[in-house]
Amino acid sequence: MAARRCHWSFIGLSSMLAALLSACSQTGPSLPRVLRVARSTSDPGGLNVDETVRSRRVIKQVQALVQEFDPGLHLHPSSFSEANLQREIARQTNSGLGPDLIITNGNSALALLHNKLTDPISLSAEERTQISSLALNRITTAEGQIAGLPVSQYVQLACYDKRRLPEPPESLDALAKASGKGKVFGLAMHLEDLYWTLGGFEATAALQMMLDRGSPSIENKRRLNAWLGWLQNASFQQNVLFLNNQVDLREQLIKGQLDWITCWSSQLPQLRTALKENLGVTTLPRGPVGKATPITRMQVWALGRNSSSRQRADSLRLLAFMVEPWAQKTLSLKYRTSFPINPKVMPIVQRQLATERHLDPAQLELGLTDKPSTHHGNALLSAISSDPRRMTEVGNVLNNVIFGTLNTKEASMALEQALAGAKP
Amino acid sequence: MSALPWLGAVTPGAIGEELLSWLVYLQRGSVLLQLVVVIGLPITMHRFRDRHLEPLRNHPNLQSLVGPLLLLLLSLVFSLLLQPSGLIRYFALLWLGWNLFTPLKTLLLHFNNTFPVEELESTFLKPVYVILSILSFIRLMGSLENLSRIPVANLFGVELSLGKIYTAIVAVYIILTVASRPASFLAWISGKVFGVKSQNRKGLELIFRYSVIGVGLLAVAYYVGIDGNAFIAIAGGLSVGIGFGIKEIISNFISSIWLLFEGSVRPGEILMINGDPCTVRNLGLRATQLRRGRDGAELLIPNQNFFTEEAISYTATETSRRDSVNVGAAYDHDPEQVVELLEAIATNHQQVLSYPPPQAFVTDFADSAVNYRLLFWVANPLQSFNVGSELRQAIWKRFEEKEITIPFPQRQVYPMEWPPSNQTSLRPQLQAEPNLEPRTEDEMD
Repeated sequence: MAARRCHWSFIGLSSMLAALLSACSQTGPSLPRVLRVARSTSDPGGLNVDETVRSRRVIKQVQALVQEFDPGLHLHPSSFSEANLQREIARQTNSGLGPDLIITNGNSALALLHNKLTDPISLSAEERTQISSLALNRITTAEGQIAGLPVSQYVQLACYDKRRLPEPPESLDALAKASGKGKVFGLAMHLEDLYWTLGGFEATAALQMMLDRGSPSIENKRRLNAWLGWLQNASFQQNVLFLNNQVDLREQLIKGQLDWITCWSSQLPQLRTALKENLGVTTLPRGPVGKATPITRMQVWALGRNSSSRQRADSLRLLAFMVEPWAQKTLSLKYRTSFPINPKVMPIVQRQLATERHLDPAQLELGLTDKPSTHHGNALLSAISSDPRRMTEVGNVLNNVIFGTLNTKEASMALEQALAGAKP
Repeated sequence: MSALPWLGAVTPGAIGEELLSWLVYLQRGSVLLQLVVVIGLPITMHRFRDRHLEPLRNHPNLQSLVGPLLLLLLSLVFSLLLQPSGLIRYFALLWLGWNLFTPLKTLLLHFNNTFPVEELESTFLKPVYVILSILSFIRLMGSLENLSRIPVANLFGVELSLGKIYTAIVAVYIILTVASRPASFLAWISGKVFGVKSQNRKGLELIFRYSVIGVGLLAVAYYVGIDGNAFIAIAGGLSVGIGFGIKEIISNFISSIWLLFEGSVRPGEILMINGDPCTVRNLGLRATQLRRGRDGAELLIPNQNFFTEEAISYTATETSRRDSVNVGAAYDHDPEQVVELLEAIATNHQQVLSYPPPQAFVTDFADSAVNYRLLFWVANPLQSFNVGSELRQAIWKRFEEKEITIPFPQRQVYPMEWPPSNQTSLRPQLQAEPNLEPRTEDEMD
């Protein structure tokens, strides 16, 4: 009896194996065409339910767009915090269960390729014309491999509550005066979030020289010290707060604990939902000697390593679609959180936004994406952030300046060591 | 899907969508190859077990580890060939972990054979292992963060994600299974510090346990996001529920809490149920579990019975019980001598309390004897039956020694003739029944 039972279980399990193998051989149209898409978010720690719901909704909206181009193709999104992205993708890829596409920022895309968790993308000359060459450079490795396809970009802006701050400051001086009158300003402590303030002191050249292991001129050093001095003075102000991350800034603006914050265009939907018509958005204030130099963040779509040939083909077709003018224009104008990466679409979107807002196109935030200072800042930050140890050391120096444990002269030397010393 | 939208709504669609998305993996050759190995190896091993595992026949613990270790080895081969092998390694480790329970149990019992390893395994280790396995599998499939944050229900305006519900269920299970430990510890501390008696300590332990569970459940509710307003809504709903459907349950629960505080029915107490002494074993939320001393039967009596009906307790304020032995002595003996003798017998018994002292009384001048009653106290009510028996034996022996007889009613029986020759009293009856034929003497014999 026992032998017969074993025999039947053997037959049952064998049938299961056969069914699995037959699933492999099926390539016909009966199986659904689903691409698993992993998306990283910059929210630290765990993601909350609201953010997940919003993220899923965005992906579903993109899917609705994709349906127009390929009705049979479905996207299945999953979200990971940026801190966990590498670990989770590594775990899944080692099991053959990795996503087909990974949507992340430029630095993470480069790191994923470096760790052999994604496949590089090859682009034809014609396809390259669809993407800003500067954006492509940011995502190209020293070996010439493209870590992912840039699809859109976000810019850094100033967001404020119109009820509490009717006139946003146009300069850092005005910001200091407003803070003296009781208005509360919030900044994030990371170099990426503070980079815009360097332009106001024309201190970016000094950083570039330090990174190149050159010695900055006396004038450049003076400008860098002036920037560090402003950073320290600002931190000593009662109404200028330096918080750990953008999420805290956003939450405190919504709660009314802050009146003005630096924000990214990707955060605008949450802020618009919470503050409605009271949300004010403007460009970042200029400094004593120059304009603000905000950088842009890219949204990059990278190819996972475990896709079947069919899934890979679908992924590549989707990527090609995402940078086409129609999709770029629709994504930018429909969701108003990102800006196109396709150089042909940029002027169209800019004109459209200017017409809607009755403004000169040059005054629009989209203009920020195409400024030389933005490109310079992007390149500089990419170079710094490509080495995690260097990024940490720079972050420590900034923390010490903000908390007052280093004076500007010491901080300048520490910054020089951090930038030059770690360079291979 | 929602019957009462203001109360709650359940939307499980996203979960199904997430689980269905796992089927996409079956379109990948690397995944299928790993599944073939994971399913194929156990089948092959099962098929050829008798032939190849013969040397390990006498070592079942080692035999159970062969399969998982082989699977691990195969995963190593896959990774050396630069092929995805995480699935094989995952299932191998899962299999190995499960099969390690038995050898570890044996090892533990080898060092300490009184350790409650079976209880630990079934109530804690295996459930925890299953929970962790489910979580790790979902994570492996790339859906842990997704699934945990999918809002699946809306309860009193609180958006409940799957992760929160899962964590809440696990937390409630742990609270219910582990709550007895800190409660026992607190009761033990109370016993040591305040000198609480062991019987009261058990009641205290239960009160602590319910407190730990109550606080734990409240904490879980707050973690889930159910705030004061939601509790008011729950209380409103419950009041209707109590009124209609769950009155008995709530009544029993409240009775149990009340009885605990009152201290009348606590574990260790001795109650008379239908004339039988019973020991309270456990005071549950719905019913009290008692052990009947007479036959060891377990009785489950709803708590509200103790709350609404009369119950005799021998341990509510003090534990001693008074019992009696009835005996008769012949009229020849001096009652004073008999009373003294009975009291002496009881006093000499070890389990009869010296205070209150045993007392004997003359209770009746009966037909054939003078009846006496010996009253005595015992410390443990459950012992009174045994003590009574021993006293009766002692009385019999001492009466023998003192030549005191225990008379019994005596009757003289005379055989009667039939039909009676010198009695006529039955004659009218016989005449009234003409069909009755007089029987012969043979028939009567």
